[in-house]
Amino acid sequence: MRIIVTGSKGKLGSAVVAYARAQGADVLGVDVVGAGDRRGYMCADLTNLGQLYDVLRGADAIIHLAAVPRAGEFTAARTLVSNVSSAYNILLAAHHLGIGRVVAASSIQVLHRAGHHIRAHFRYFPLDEDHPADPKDEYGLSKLMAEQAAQMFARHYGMTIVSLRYVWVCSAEEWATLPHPPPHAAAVDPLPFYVHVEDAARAAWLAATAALPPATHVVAFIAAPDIRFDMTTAEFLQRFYPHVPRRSVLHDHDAPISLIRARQAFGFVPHYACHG
Amino acid sequence: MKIVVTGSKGNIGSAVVDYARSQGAHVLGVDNVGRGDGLGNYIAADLTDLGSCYDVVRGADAIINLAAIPDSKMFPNAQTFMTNVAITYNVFLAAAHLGVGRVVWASSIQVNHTVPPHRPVRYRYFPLDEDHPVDPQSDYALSKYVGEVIADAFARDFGLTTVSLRFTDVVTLQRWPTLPAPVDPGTQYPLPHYVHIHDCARACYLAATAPLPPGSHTVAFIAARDTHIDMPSRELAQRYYPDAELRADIQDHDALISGKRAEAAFGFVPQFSCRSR
Repeated sequence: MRIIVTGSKGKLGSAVVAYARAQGADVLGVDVVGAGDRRGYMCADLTNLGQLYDVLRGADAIIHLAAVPRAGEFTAARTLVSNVSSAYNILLAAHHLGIGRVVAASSIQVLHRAGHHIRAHFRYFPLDEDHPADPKDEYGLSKLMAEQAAQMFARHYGMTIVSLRYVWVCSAEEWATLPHPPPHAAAVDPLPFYVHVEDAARAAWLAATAALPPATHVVAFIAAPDIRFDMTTAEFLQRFYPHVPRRSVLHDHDAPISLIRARQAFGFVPHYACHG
Repeated sequence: MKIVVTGSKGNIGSAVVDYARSQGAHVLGVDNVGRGDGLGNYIAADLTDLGSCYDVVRGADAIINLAAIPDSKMFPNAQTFMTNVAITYNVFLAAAHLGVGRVVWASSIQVNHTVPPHRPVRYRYFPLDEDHPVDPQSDYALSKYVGEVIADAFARDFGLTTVSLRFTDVVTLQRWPTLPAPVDPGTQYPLPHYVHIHDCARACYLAATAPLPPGSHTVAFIAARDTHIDMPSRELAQRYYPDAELRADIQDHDALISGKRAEAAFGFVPQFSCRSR
């Protein structure tokens, strides 16, 4: 099985490449960093459609992680246009080349970005994929637009596409610092979610390889089963989101986000939980 | 049969589109002029952009690639060369990757003889044929020569069936009544080879559709069977190209160029002569 992993030099991408190879896949990593090694890595500009056709052909599945990873690294328009064009180009080229499966990294930021003194307007906990989107900046907007492109290509062009809404992906080093102290009392609508990079990588692999029907677009949160703060979930919600209704009982450190979709659609269950 | 014709808004391109449609082909025209019709008959695209190439050629049985900057001195040298080579390479690459098995493209007699020449023109023999050494003398001519090298490589390495048509002086319907004509007194090296645009269009179609060996690259001149100069051919050869060996019994206004390759490879015989109207 040949898998193309874009953004393969990133934190998540390199973990996905390693995991997929460990599962026996023939993996070509693609990123904008350095030069290709003529074996498993190629340097390409994914906003360039022609280069995409070239690098994608022959793949059974694409795991598209390449993106400007957050607002503020470049001007807003560049971030938006770059992310949307690479997402669209991937889907278009995959469709033309007959590649039936695309897994794309979306983000919790289609719902909220913490840390901008912008209110979250969550309607309920646990969050799930049916919660209305509410991006707060060009990055979140680019991810929402990419999900909409995926929806079109799945529904009208028969592709099977999985948009993985990642929460904060923590590296092995960052994992060692968890759980974090409770957020400052003045913090505005902080997000308590995280996922270990190895779980995040395994989720991408499962989404790329699990049996899924054609003409399907699955949107799924990928998160750890607990919160990253050293406090109970009840305390966290009472302190920061006292007026948001809760639809189910959240015990101990349970993450206030639903992991049902990822489990049901492609069998992903996180292995790492910082509260043991 | 689906044929993609690039440069479809040009003189040759529009004639090729008309002829191919008259033969029953489903033709998508591509050019960088205006906008497409939204119906799949014409689409505007920049073929120096590889992604656009992949998009427009997919699903074709054959490509007739005529898109190019059509001569020197219309744009700066490097732009002419880079644009033409980029289009040629992109179209071949996209065809190879997407399984389009046949690519016909417009080369030019200027690989032999730049118009006007920058240096003395040394024809070694007449009738000129495809084995004659080339001598590209301009950015445009060089882009066509490099294109033939690319066509050769894609035939060999990707198994494409490629045809490089070396067009001679392609005469439009407007210009046709003015021929034959005297030698331009300002010309030191008159080029007497020509082809009627309708013959040219038919040659493109035949090259795109005739049986040809897979993985072959055919280079063929596309020319009428006579000259379009009113000086007898033997006199013209001896006066302007005295070093050229006459290898055939050339009579009257017989062409000084061979059409044998095009006839043998894909059955092209010109129907138009500027002397028999």
